[in-house]
Amino acid sequence: MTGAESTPAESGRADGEDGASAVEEPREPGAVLGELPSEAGLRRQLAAAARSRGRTASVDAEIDEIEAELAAIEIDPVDLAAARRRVAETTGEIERLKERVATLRGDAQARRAVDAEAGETLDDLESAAAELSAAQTEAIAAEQALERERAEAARNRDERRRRLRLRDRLRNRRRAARRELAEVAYPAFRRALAVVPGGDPSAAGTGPDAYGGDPVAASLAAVRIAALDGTVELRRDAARRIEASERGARSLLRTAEVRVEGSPDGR
Amino acid sequence: MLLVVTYSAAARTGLRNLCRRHESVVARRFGRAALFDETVYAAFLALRLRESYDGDVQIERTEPFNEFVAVDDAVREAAAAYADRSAKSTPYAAFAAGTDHPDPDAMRGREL
Repeated sequence: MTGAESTPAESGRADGEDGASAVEEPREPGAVLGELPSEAGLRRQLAAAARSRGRTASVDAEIDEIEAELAAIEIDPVDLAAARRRVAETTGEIERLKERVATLRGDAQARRAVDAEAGETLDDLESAAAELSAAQTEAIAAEQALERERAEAARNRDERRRRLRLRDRLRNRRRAARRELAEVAYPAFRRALAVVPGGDPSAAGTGPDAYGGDPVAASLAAVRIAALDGTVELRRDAARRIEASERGARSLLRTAEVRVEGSPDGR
Repeated sequence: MLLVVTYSAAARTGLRNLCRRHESVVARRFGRAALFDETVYAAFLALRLRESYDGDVQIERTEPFNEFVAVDDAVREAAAAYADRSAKSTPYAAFAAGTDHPDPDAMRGREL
């Protein structure tokens, strides 16, 4: 939905944790209320019920804008490891060659001091010095390459920071939307509690945060006030509640398609 | 010390958990960043975090700042003089103009 995580380069390890789930997807009402007991919190269920009836939240336009902005962000992977490794290797090579040059120089001096043949040592010294010089050139190039990549990474991280802020804002606005929609749905929800088995309107309190009643009854009431397209499946506690009731599931839930676990016809 | 900065909600949570579990290596915690001790173990923890969240974790190594080594007397003196200025609304460039205090653009062009 946000699309920001769809760059192929990012589909690596972190994707499972920060890819599609970086900002929780807004789910279709049917996905929240299609199977009871619901895993979603009461506020989310009530918001889904309100959405199913076409209610919108005042922050919806802003949510769309943030989503569009997120979808437009493209982020390349940051991988400076190769550049860093090259710097480390060239630095190590320089140390090694410096030592070799120093050793050969000492060797040559010692040979000269005793008038021994130093020609071969001097040849070695000359080639070691040339290698050292080449390694130093390579080290400078490696440092410069790392600098360039660091500058690139800094720009990349600016984008990542922007994406993180947008995602935080999106999460926040979606929460605000759910809160608003749940409030809107609350009076109808309270009335529905009087009808569904196990429901108690006096446990409803003033709003979604104050609900102190039975969670399964709350879910049944949420479904009752929703206008769902698909099938509602009732399992475990939710199924037992309905089975124990004298009224049929369709009439209790005001939903055309109800399937009750253990009762193929759904009653 | 090691500066660890995160760039995603998951990496930020990972850092928060790491800091909670390994309090002893954490010198300072900021919102989505933290300063770790300069130990191999702290580096190991930082690397583990980066292995998990890739580009959403940045690791930098910081050095203690010594103004007596890093900058000239003139810079330190200008900072003190400017902090002590009488007209609070004067921008530094105007404050420095026509004095011996270093020019801001000249300072920008010089690396530490």
